[in-house]
Amino acid sequence: MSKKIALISLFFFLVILQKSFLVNLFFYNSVPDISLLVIIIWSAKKSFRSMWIWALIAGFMVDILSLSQIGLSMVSFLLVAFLVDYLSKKLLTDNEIIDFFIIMLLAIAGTFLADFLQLLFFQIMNFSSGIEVGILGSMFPINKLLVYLTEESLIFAIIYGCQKKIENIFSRHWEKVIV
Amino acid sequence: MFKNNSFFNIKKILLFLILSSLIIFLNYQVVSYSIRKVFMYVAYPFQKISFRISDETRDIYLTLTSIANLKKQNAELIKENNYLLAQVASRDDQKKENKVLREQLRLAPRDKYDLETALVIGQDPRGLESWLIIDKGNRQGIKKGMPVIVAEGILVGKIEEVYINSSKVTLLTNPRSSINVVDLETGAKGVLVGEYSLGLAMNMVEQAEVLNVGDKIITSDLGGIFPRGLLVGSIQQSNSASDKLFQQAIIIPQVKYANLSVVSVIKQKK
Repeated sequence: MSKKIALISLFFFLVILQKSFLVNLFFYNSVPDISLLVIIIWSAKKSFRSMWIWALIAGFMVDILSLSQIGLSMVSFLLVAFLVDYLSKKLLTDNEIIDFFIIMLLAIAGTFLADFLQLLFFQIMNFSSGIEVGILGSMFPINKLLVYLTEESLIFAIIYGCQKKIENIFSRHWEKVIV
Repeated sequence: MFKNNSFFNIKKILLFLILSSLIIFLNYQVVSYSIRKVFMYVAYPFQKISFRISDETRDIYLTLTSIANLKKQNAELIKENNYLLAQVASRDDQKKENKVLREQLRLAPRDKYDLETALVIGQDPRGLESWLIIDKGNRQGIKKGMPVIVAEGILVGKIEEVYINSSKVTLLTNPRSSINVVDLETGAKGVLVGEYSLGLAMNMVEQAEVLNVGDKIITSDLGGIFPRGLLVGSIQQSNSASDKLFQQAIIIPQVKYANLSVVSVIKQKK
């Protein structure tokens, strides 16, 4: 039980880290979704069966603390975790270096998919209020996109490096939390 | 390599998707607000500390990077200082003129309002919906809809949600934001809307009105939400195709919202 609370607290603090600490230190104040990166890495290395509840909890924490609509991140995280699990089964090898780059690509694609899904839900929800992307164009200007990709790769590498330690902490717990 | 034999119940997932769709699209504001209130209360001290630390860290970084340019900047400042001294004399006359114009235009000076100064303790990390979290809430008398300004009456947004010790401020660049504005120079009226953190657009300006690049845009008192005369930004570009019913202009905000660390909430008129 205490390990479960520790994992929930981990996501709680990751969201606070993202929106109240890193947001000041990144270009364009656009911070990669750390909780989602953690979920993607774990989904690639574990099974969807053991991860889906944590995808929901991470999504819930992001929604509740990022003041966005409850459910937006929950649904997008869950779908991304499912897709990452499916693709990683087909793509991952036994070579750790190759796996690192495959998971990095999955993480980048996954975060863009999550952003796209959230934007889509947001647009659908606000359709009746007449909100639409106007004359200023798309959500992803190219300069912002390049910086975002670099920052995300960096954050991914850090989390990937740390995940062994986190796995060690929670290793005995993983099988117990399967839902 | 670490995979277990994957098994999951597709029915459970489908059930979840249906339930979550209902939560998202039916938008149970009351339920989500109550849950969020508890989480925001717990998160408040952590947010405040971490935002302050990162703000200080950014300042230190900016200071360090600016040291290299100090010598050059110093020379430029001396030159600028001499120029400014010469300008001061002529400014006195303009100051008197400004006072008269301010009265005529009913611009909003800060001393007219009961302000609550607040520190920014959180920001939208993804830019989908532009918002800030400030460290003042219900306990300090903050209420939904109150305008939020910086410096000498520059409008940045309004209070959208109020928690015990904190509040959510919707910035003008939020796509849900929509306010009545007027061109300070020409008097052209329009509606200012947010464009997904990318900027601001002034819509619904009649074809007969004049919009010039560089004109200052201020709030009008139409709608009764914002007092007249709060500065919003200036016109960067105007699109006035004759085949359209209304003109449109892109507005550059007067302040960079991403760098805000202190704001003031207008509680009421004095």
